[in-house]
Amino acid sequence: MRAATTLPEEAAEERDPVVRVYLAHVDRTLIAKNLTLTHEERLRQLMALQRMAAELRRAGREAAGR
Amino acid sequence: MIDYPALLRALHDHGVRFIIVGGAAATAHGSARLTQDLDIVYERSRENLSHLVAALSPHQPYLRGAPPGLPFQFDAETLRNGLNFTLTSKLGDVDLLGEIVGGGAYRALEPHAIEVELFGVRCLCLGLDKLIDVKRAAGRPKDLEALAELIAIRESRK
Repeated sequence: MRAATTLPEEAAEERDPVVRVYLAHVDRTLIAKNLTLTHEERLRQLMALQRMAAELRRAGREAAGR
Repeated sequence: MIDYPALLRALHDHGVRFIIVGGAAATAHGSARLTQDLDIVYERSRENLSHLVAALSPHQPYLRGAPPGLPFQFDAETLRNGLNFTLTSKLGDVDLLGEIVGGGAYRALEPHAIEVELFGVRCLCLGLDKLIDVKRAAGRPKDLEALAELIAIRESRK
């Protein structure tokens, strides 16, 4: 669920209207959290996400096959 | 799923000159988006092609999405005759890119890369500003949301 956001500085300067819309809705709380991590910790988090995504796909396939 | 530690270690241990680009580079810069592969731009000297083949051959690289049984030889000649290869391997999916839109080849990208330490390996990763440039140049609809996030990361770092 997204909280209300103010228009960030770069969104106002962005020329591409589609990117401008996306910019206004980027979840900056996730970015702020990631920026506290090291490069390696960010990659490790990505691998955990990949494992989770694979597991969700497996569970989804299994549920659909029931 | 991709084994980044093993892939990066294999590339490093064989002396491959490469730059991490794409989604994994975005992750290194703080992106929260999920990517499923490793994109690298590799240097195309004869020597480096041999290193790349030695690094990845043990992990059975094969053309991703191609039917099994094609006479695909992952060797230096194949790399020399092609440019960009989307591969699957025992360590996960890896894209070997001779050049990228908006960024060019290894030599052109190298000045825009930063050195990062990942899993005990020091490797080059495309810098955030250039990553934004190449995402913008690619101009694919699917890149626009990712582009917005990279711009937001740059803003968050200020």
